[in-house]
Amino acid sequence: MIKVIGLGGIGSHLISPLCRYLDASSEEKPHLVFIDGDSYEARNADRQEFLDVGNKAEISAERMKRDFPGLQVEAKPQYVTEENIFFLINDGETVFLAVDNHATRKIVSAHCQTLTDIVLISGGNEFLDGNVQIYIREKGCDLTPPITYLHPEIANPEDKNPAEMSCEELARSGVAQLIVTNLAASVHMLSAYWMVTRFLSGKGKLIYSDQDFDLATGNTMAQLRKQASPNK
Amino acid sequence: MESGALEKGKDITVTNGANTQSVTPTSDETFTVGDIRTKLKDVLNIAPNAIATINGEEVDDTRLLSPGDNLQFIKRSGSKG
Repeated sequence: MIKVIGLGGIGSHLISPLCRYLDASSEEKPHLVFIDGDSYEARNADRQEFLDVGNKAEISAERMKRDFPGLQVEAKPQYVTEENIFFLINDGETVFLAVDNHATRKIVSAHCQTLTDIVLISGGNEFLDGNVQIYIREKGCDLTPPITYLHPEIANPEDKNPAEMSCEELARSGVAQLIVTNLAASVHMLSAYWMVTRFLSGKGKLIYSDQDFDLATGNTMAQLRKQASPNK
Repeated sequence: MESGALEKGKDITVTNGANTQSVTPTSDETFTVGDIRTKLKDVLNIAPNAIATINGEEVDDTRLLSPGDNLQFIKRSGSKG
């Protein structure tokens, strides 16, 4: 099962090519679950892909069910919290994490580290740059470091989970973003997924666990990180 | 300090996020991590508190660099999406 958490600037662009790829390449049609408590509003149209206003998970699921009727697509119209994470992410799943805050990344990362088998592909961006982090845990052992490793901004987030924010705080939380940067992050997340699926099926190598990109310079840097004392 | 690989294998490679710069120390020059952080903070946009690693291991700013080292400053993960 594939979970996509966050259907905003990155997630709304990620799902269509992801579903197209899965629809064309999988013999067994995978089950996708979209998770987001936020709603599309008219003001999001400058950089997010949606057909109607309403809950992002539900609107996106409807769009993918329409475009790819062979896939199973489900919506969970809720933010990820410490209380519901146990129901939302389970062993053996692949998680695309495309949220707009480190507080949620920390919750997802911590939960994934308790599972036996999980693939977590996390993407984020600022105005012109961004990164993708891959966490793979197989048979209870980390194959790559958790996304908090060397990243105190995720381990000790200064921002808030949107589930804990007031309407006023949510309205103020938006910062200027560029659709091109969102698209770059989504493409790098999909590239990471392709590489990881090949690796886990024995058809390819795990080339990298972290990838940075910078649209201002045109540079991309990918590397395979190792943690000194991996979590077993 | 010059960019580019003047003496292949002797350069110190400095990375911040997606961007890289090479540092070629002269025979009587030595650099610490803190020296490089200061010298390249504008060129590579290095945050003052960015974690530094050499060849994958976390180090502090007093660590002396050797030719061929791969010094990486860990750029903060993108927060938005």
